[in-house]
Amino acid sequence: MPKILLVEDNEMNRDMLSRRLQRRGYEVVMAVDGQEGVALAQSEAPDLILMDMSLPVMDGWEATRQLKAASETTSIPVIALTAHAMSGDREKAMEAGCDDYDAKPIDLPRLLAKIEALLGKQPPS
Amino acid sequence: MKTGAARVLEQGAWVALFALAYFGAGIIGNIFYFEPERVATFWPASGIFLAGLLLSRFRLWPVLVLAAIVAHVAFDTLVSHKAVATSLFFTSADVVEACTGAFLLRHFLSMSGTLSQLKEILNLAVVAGVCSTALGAAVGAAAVVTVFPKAAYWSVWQVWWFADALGVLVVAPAILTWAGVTRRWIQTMSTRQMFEVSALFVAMLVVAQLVFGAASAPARSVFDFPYLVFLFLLWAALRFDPPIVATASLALTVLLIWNADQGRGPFIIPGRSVHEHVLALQAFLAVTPLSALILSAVVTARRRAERLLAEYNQRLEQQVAERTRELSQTLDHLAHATREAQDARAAAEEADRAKSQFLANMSHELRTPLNAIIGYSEMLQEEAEDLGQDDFTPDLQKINAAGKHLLALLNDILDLSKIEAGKMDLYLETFDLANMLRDVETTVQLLVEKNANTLVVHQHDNLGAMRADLTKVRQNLFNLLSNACKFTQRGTITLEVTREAVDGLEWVTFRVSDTGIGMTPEQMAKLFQPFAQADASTTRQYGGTGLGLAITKHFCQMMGGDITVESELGKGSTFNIKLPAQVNDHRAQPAPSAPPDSEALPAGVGAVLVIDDDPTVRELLQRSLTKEGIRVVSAAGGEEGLRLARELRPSAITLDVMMPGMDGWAVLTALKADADLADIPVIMLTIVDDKNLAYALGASDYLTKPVDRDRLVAILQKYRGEDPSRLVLVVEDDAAAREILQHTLEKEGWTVTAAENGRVALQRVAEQRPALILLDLMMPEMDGFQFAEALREREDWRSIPIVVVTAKDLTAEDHLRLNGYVEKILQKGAHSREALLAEIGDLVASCVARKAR
Repeated sequence: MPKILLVEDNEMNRDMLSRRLQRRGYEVVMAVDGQEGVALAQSEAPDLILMDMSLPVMDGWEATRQLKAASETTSIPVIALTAHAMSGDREKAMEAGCDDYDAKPIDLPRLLAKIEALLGKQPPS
Repeated sequence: MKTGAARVLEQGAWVALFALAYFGAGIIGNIFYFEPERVATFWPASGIFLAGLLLSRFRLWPVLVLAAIVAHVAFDTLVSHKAVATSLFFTSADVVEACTGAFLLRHFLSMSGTLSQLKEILNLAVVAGVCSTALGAAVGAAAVVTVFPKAAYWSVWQVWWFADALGVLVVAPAILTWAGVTRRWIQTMSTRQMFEVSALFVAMLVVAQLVFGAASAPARSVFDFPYLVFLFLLWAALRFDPPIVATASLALTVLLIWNADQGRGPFIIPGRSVHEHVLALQAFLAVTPLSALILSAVVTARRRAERLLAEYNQRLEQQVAERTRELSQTLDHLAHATREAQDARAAAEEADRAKSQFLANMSHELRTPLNAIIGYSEMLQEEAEDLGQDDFTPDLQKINAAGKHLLALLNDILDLSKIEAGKMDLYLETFDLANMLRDVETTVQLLVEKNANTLVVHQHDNLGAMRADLTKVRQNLFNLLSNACKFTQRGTITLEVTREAVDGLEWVTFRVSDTGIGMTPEQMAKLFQPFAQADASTTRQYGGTGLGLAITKHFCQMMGGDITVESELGKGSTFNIKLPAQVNDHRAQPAPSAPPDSEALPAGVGAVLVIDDDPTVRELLQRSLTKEGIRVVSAAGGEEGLRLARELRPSAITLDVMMPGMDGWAVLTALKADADLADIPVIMLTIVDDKNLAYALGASDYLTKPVDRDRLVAILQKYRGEDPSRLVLVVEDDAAAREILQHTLEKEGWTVTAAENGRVALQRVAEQRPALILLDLMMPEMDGFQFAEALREREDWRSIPIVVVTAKDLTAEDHLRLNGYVEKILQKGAHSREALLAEIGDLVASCVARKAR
């Protein structure tokens, strides 16, 4: 069962997304800010990270940069979740090292397809 | 104002004084005459006469003349015992002289009564002192000759002349200068000055007496220096005002003449005739005081000039001080105003920032709860399904729909707010039109089917690339298409895209027409205004926000284009969006970067290193990038490229993969191994037949062999919804692999057709359009790349998703490394050259811009 690390500060979003992902058969680990996200990524070794961009303590871009820089976590695909769907945000997310990005509000089938695409690239765990 | 009587009295007194003075002068003059003709050597009366006339008004002159005559005749008869007739004759000479002199001076030389200027002194000397006296002397001499026939006319004339001249030159100035004296002048005379004046006079008179009273030769005394007195006059002239000088001259003259008359003085030289004595004396007397007077006048003038200068200076300084004060006041005001302006600007900037912040926050704040509504309602639907509680579903769907509608409204309102606040920016990028249209088509499909409509897309072949704000173009198209869908039932919606050149500029036109309900002219008029949907009831009936077209129009205009509409009620509507193929906007981001203005940065900053063995590519890239303002350095091979990269540290590197010697991958490895160069973004350029780069095809996905079942299933899930036919085409030359795939797919409920190479695969596609293609790259006859290209050429096949299956020699690690290191993998063959170069340009520009920050 693939493990997804969900880094999201908003409680409702976290709740919704984690439950719906779990229903789809994913194991979900959660972090509430960027710093916790980086820590959990290292300790939990998830198969994929869903990273909200606007986070307290450390924002999503910085967290992604750190994860991509560290050797243990660099291979974990990151999907950026952003509330702003402007092209500038897309570029910014990709710049930080995200493998893909999705806009809020979350369209679950769309997100799932992106998750599966990125997980499909992984070597068998 | 004096009364008439008082005036008459005053004038009478003046005349009386004059007459008296005249009489007195006559007595004095009489003392200094020489025998036998008894002509005076010094006649002060002329001076008095002249001065009197000059000091009086014209009207008084006759009275004065009369008084003079009376005085003179009285004197002559009483003192000199002359006959009245003789006296009258003599007097007439004086009258002529004085009147002529005074008249000339007053009338033609406009002399005032006082000798205040040098000019006046000179005029007096010449006109009155010389000319009028000469005239008077002529008359006088005639009188003398008449009375004393033995007298020599010319000598008499000369003596008379000189005597009168002396009288004028010595006496008149004395009177006139004192007449000009004001009370203030007397007051400003300090005690010290008075003492000095007294000292002067005493000394002068003593010395003068010594000189002039010296016995005549041969009993010469030591003091035979008549010119010594000049020193005193000089002293007086330099130190004091003209009245003092004139008085000194007068005193000297009197002294000299008195002594001479006694037979004393330097001019009495034995052996000389009396005449000669008198002449010498008179000459001396004429010149010396005159010189002194002139000097005095000059000095006075200078003093006055100095005083005026000082006054002017002071006034000037005052003015300057005043101006300076005014100026500094103005400066203060200016400084104050500037500060206020700065404050205002800071406040405005702050407000502006607050506005931006507000919009951003609102965006976030408003969307967050909406996300919750939409998300939870969806989730509950799923859970209700699981629990078999289907009757909850419709209500939950309503909540979901309402939430989505609210979100749409929100997005539109925020867009409009941004536009109106001037905060809507353009993000320009170059994109392939065909790709974008395919995207939009797919997105809109559901909406099309909702009202049982059909969508037809016509597009020019080779639409090529467009440089615009992709998001906005998509939004515009989606808006028009969704409107068309909403207002059309069981009809046709047509999207037509054309590209044409007008006046050297290229324009792209998107034309959306429908066979829907159409609009009336009144409705069309209000169309692009926010919140003015064609009809208030249309919102309720057809949904929508009423803002979409207003926003679309703004977006079009921002990009330099426009939107127009044609419609017929009951028949349908057509919307035309016309946009420039190359949108320019100075507000667009990211701006193509100019190299940063810092000399501290290394030479390569802002430059791009192009590594490619093909000289054409190098040249093309050079040209297109330079146009963007980016400096280009090129290398023909890997080693040269690495060397240049180390030297220049460029902001970005484009790297050809297929190169002889050291190929692109090797260069890439080397670049990433070097700590200095690892950070430089690399854009890899590849040609079509590079087997390791699945994404170069524009493939939707890829799998590695041997295929992992779960991965495959996941991918299949993804494409499950798209085409109901559930037909998958497997293109794979290896029979065993083909079978495995087939088996797996069928188990998942898919129908499978197979092909062992590209050519056969094309046939299969023609037979029946599959929903998905699994494609191996390495095949005989027609390999995967060629097949994909061929597929792309057919319009209706372009949208079939392709999952590429590659051999496992490219490890996942490689891919990830690539993902991290390589910006993008671009395919040289599939896009038009311009599009490719433009995309490279964009990428490079953004790399360079990033590096520069």
